[in-house]
Amino acid sequence: MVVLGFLLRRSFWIAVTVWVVFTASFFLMKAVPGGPFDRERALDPAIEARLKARYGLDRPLWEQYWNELLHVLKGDLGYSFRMPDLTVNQIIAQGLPISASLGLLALGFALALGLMAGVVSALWRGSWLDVSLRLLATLGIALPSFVIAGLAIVVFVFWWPVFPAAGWGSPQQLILPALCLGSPYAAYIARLTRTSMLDVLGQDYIRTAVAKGLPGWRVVVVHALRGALLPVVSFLGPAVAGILTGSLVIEEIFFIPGLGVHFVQAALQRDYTLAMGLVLLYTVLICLMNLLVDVAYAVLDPRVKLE
Amino acid sequence: MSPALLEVENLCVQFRTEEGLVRAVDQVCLRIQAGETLALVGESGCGKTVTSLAIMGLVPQPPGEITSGQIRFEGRELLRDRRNMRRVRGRQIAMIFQDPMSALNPFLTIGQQLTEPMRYHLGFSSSQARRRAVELLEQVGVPDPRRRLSYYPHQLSGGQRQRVMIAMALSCQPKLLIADEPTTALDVTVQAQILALLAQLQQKRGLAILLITHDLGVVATLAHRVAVMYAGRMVEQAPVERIFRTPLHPYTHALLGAVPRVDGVPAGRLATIGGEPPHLAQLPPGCAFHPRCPWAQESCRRQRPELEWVQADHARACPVDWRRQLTSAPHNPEPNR
Repeated sequence: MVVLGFLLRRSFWIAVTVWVVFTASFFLMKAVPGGPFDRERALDPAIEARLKARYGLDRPLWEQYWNELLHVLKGDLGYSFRMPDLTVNQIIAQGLPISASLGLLALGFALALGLMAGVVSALWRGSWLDVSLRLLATLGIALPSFVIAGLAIVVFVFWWPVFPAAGWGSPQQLILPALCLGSPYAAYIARLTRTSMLDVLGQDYIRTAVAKGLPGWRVVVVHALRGALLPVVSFLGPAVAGILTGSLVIEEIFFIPGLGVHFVQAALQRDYTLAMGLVLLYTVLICLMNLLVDVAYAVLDPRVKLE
Repeated sequence: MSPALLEVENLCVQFRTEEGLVRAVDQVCLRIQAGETLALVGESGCGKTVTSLAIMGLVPQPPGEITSGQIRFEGRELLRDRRNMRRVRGRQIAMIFQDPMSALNPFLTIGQQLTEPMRYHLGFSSSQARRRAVELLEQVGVPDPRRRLSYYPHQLSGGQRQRVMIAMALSCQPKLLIADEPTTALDVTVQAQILALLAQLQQKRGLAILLITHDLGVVATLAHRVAVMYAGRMVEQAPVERIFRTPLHPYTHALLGAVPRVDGVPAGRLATIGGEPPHLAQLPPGCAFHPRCPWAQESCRRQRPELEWVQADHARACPVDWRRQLTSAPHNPEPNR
């Protein structure tokens, strides 16, 4: 019952958030100079007027807002301005599964590697292993993804050809981009885990566990890991939303037909409907992930109540 | 003397800190017989907790380092032999800590934490361990024990948490219980209950207790023998009545003088020990207590007194015959500067 009430309340606030984001984005996009039909050579005024009339852009602003809101509420994001053969729903339906599956793989890789490195670093604090892992983590955060992707291609495609250079479709084509997409996340998770693990290992209840005569692995796995995971979980919320919606750089480099490209192109080309669709998608994902984080917190930490 | 249950000999523990090398424990010796309670007494920072952590192999290394000494449990060396330590820790020697709020894992239920040592050390099945856990909680006076097993620590009061800690410590039927300030974090009525519980458990099970405290009231209720520490060193050891009646070290004398009395004797201002405990990184030469000692002599400033057994069961680290001057000296000694 408590959980149901919590979910209902949160759904209401998610709806409010999405509406606010919709409204702000709508007026911001209209406020930015330029429009979807601007070209280097000016269009014939008559043609432009007809185009605008077709998309309803000749109506007063509040009427446009109201119409679009009604459509969005029905789940219809409209036709793209730049790819008029496709609806925004179709574009998302094509790109999201690709970006999301790449993202999930990258995330799994980031979690496995990051958690392991973080725990090892914390347990052997100050050792050469810790120092080199931390150096790697700093590099992973500092290097931009196109550098990492470039290096990965040089090593694994040219020097030691185990993976194809680019493309989409086979599992082999998935691995290299997933590694590149995931590596900054892995690095960040490693640093977070190390810090929180060290914090937990200094707690009194860990001393109690050691005093009980438990073996080291049990102290770490049963007593320390849970508390150390909490900061990682709260980082994962927004990170998952970001990683699932794709990355422009990685998708461009590896020729992956995901969503990442559209995020940039839609904004630059004033593709009002596509940009709005992507913004709303991102907002909903962020809200859902934060909801998930809160639920995960309550599951992990018995002191946290869902309210 | 019969062979001791626990023997600590010449234990030295030092810590590397920013202010320099700190000798937290300096040549400490103590023995505990089966079934007896030894109270380890002294001000905060005198090394009593570090001594107990060393016995349990819990001194954080680094920054800590055990530079010398031996710790034997039933004749088996614990410091050098990690296998012995693993066999003994949590099973033969158990420990309860000062703050039951932070000593229990907030993420695990009471049942999970309580059954863990029995399952690991005694090979109990999960249902066996749970049955035993219910009995243990009953013994330490936790009401409705079956339901409490599914509780998390934050759902219990401080006193109940300390009872759970005690139950957990006793779960494998240890021979020695180390209690580090077991009542300091609790309020007064609960303190009395926990002390009574410890005394009762000791009688029933013939448990030996190493009681670490700065509370002389607790010492008087529970201890058979008392060991007094000052600035990392042992300064006096004697049976409890002798410590209270005829202390042989000026520091013990001063500690007793600083206890508030509620027995009708007009109290006036609460006596304190003048001066401050010395910083362990900058110990004064000679006897560490001499700057605060009203009977300090020239030799005290130069030579560090060793612990000497003046009677079979009474040792002190003070060569000065200060008790003779007691009648003329104030009960509350002011430091001579």
